[in-house]
Amino acid sequence: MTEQGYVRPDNLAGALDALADAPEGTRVLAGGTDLMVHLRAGKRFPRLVNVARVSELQALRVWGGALEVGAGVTVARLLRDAEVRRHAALLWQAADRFASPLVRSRATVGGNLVNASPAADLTLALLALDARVELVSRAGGVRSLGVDELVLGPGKTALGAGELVRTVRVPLAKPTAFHHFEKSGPRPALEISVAAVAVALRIEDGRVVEPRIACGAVAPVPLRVVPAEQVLAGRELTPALIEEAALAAAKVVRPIDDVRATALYRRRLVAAFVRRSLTAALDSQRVSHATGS
Amino acid sequence: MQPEVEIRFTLNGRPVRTHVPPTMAVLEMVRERFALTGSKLACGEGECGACAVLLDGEPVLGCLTPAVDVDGRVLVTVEGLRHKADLAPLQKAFLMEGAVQCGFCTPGMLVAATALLAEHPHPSREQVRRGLEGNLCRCTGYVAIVEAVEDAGKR
Ligand SMILES: Cc1cc2nc3c(=O)[nH]c(=O)nc-3n(C[C@H](O)[C@H](O)[C@H](O)COP(=O)(O)OP(=O)(O)OC[C@H]3O[C@@H](n4cnc5c(N)ncnc54)[C@H](O)[C@@H]3O)c2cc1C
Ligand code: FES
Ligand code: FES
Repeated sequence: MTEQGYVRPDNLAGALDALADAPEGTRVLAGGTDLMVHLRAGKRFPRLVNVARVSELQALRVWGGALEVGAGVTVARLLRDAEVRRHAALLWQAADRFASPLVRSRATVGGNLVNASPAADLTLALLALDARVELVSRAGGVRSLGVDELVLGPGKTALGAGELVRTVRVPLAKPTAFHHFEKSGPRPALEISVAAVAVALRIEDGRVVEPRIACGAVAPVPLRVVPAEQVLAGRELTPALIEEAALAAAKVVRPIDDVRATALYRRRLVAAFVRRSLTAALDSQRVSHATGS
Repeated sequence: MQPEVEIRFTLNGRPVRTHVPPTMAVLEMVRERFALTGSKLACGEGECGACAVLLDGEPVLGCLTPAVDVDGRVLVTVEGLRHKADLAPLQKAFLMEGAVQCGFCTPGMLVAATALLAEHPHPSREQVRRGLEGNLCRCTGYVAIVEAVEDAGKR
């Protein structure tokens, strides 16, 4: 690597400058839990922009009706934050199921999005939460994308030359919201998911409103299973409806056979996770009825 | 050759300064620049925790954390866990419970458990298990290790 090969800017302007005239293949280095694995394996990039000191990427606050999460916020910080738990329980649950303490202390939200793994857990939760991702560059200013517009395929994103992820905005959960995250792996805590399901919905006047069901590790990208959502929208949650939605979800996903699991097993996991999530929603409704809240 | 970056930080309680290539990991830095060989390289991919160290009190993977990121911060390796000349209560508990066989995982286990005990001074068994989720042991079957950490929490 040349003198140009490594930059450690002190602020966002410095980072954007370093990215603006950067050679093709330049990478942002955040926590390093993905990138350092490649570097250790001998892969080299023409330029690395280490954003560890960029304080503008560290925001974590409720602001303008949304939870604003800086790209540099770690999984460990999400877990320690009461606002995250309260306003974006789904993101908190995904953080809680994420790897181990040793990884959570370094892995960032921005890295999870841009790494664009089909099994990315935070990305999956953010997809189900209708989060908006803010990208910024020196030339183009700020633009905002949905998670499904950002993540295009395994390792592939809509990030343009000179752009980095600055913040993610998550709409605040309404009091009627229900969030549930399910994940499985051979070593659940550590291994990347064999399958994961993130569910966010509201129950208002006994009916399901704006259901979101997102499935991880069963398609080239974290995938919303819209036909299953349509089964639920505007209907009353019953065991029969839950079954219908679970089967619809299993039908839409496009899992593959690999060393970790077969496609058939993954499809069954999706159905089971959707069933379990929606049953928990039904139970939570019964509890709130019983307590009159 | 990569140009090296100068960094200054606190290592096991002592201010230090060194130069590192920008892609060097904390693990190689402590082993090669400071001859602290307690932290181990096993998988080099984040899966085993043998390389764990404490950065500003948080447990991190030595193998995947860039050395430059410790600039201006406080780094503690397994060598820095002892209390003055004596072993820390956690280390004594490992000896008492026979939680060490080949010992390769032990430094990382001690580091992860130290972080856990700082957060939960009297952890439940479940909390110990979750605290050590990122650390693999090929010898002990974990029972003695978990008991040692629980014991240390009872002292
Ligand atoms: C042992 C182990 C277990 C893991 N378990 C899980 C798990 O359970 N769930 C899961 O989802 N993931 C898991 N991962 C993957 C990884 O930890 C996550 O993807 C993490 O969120 C990456 O964040 P980072 O900051 O470490 O990324 P880095 O390695 O620093 O970067 C990853 C990618 O994102 C880009 N990038 C980072 N920040 C920005 C930004 N602000 N703007 C533009 N580009 C950016 C980088 O250029 C790079 O391409 C695991 C990894 C390991 C090693
Ligand atoms: S050597 Fe770092 S996790 Fe295995
Ligand atoms: S004692 Fe040998 S790996 Fe744990």
